[in-house]
Amino acid sequence: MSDESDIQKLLRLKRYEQPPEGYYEDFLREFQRRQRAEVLKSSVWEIVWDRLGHILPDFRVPAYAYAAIGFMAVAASSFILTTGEVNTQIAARPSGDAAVTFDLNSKAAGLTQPVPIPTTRMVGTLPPHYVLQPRPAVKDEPYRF
Amino acid sequence: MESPETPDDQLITRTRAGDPSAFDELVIRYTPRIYGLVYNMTSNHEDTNDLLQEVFAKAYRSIHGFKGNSSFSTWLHTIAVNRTINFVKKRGRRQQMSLDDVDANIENDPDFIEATASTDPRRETNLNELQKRLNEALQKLSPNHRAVVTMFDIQGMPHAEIAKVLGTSEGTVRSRLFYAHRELQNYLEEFRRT
Repeated sequence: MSDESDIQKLLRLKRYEQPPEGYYEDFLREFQRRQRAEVLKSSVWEIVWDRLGHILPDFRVPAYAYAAIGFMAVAASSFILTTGEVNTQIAARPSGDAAVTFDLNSKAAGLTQPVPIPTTRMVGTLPPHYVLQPRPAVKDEPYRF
Repeated sequence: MESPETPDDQLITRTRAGDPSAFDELVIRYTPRIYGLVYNMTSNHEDTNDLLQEVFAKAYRSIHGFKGNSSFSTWLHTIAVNRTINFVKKRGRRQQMSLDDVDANIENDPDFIEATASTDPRRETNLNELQKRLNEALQKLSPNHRAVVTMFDIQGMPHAEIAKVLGTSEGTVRSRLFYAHRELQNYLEEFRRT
């Protein structure tokens, strides 16, 4: 045994190493027992998740499904936009400078017109108010040059 | 039980359809080969048994993901090699050999006759000694080199199939074999001189 081929011949002899007699039959029984135990041990969600993991990669959506989803999206968008415009028109009725108007039991309150609520914009339009003293606060004689 | 002629793909289809007896047939068919692969990489019967259970359990769980791009044998070998390499790396040097018995048919093997005849006739070659030396030498190889040697030299798989199992090129397989053989020659040098 002096070269690579001899090593290979020696290695090939290892295929004669075999497990104890009856091992393969016992192995199958043990495998079946473990598989059953694993199935019983795993929860329903684990089984469902496992199945989905195998099914989803092969799942193919038909082409018309994309068209149907697109159509539904467009229809939903136009419906939302149309409803939004009506609401905007109602909210934008002329009501003076008041940003918000409301009419709570106007008949009961004896009011026939909506009452405007003051806003910060209205308050901000008032002119600044200064109070001037009739005499100067300093009572020293003024300098004379 | 299925006849031996039933092709793998039929058994796979039936397994996918929920027939566990079809997978049992695949287990029976491939256990000896996968056992040889794992055993010669671990040199431990108990570890081999545990790993083999894991390999077939993994294959059973993943059978729906088997696309048929390679043969079932190659796919199963890939699972077994990856699991065993991971195991051997984790185990590191904490290894205990529990070797299987040598089949009596070895005495009729020409390679065995040649190997024993080429040693010094004054010294009786002991089968257990031969087995022990080989396993010690194999255990000194890296897991990747051990996998290649096991598949090529012991199991007789062609380079192309080994390359598929390992996901490498044939050139890499040949290179690993070359270095593994050189290492084994060095390890067995002492044994060869006696």
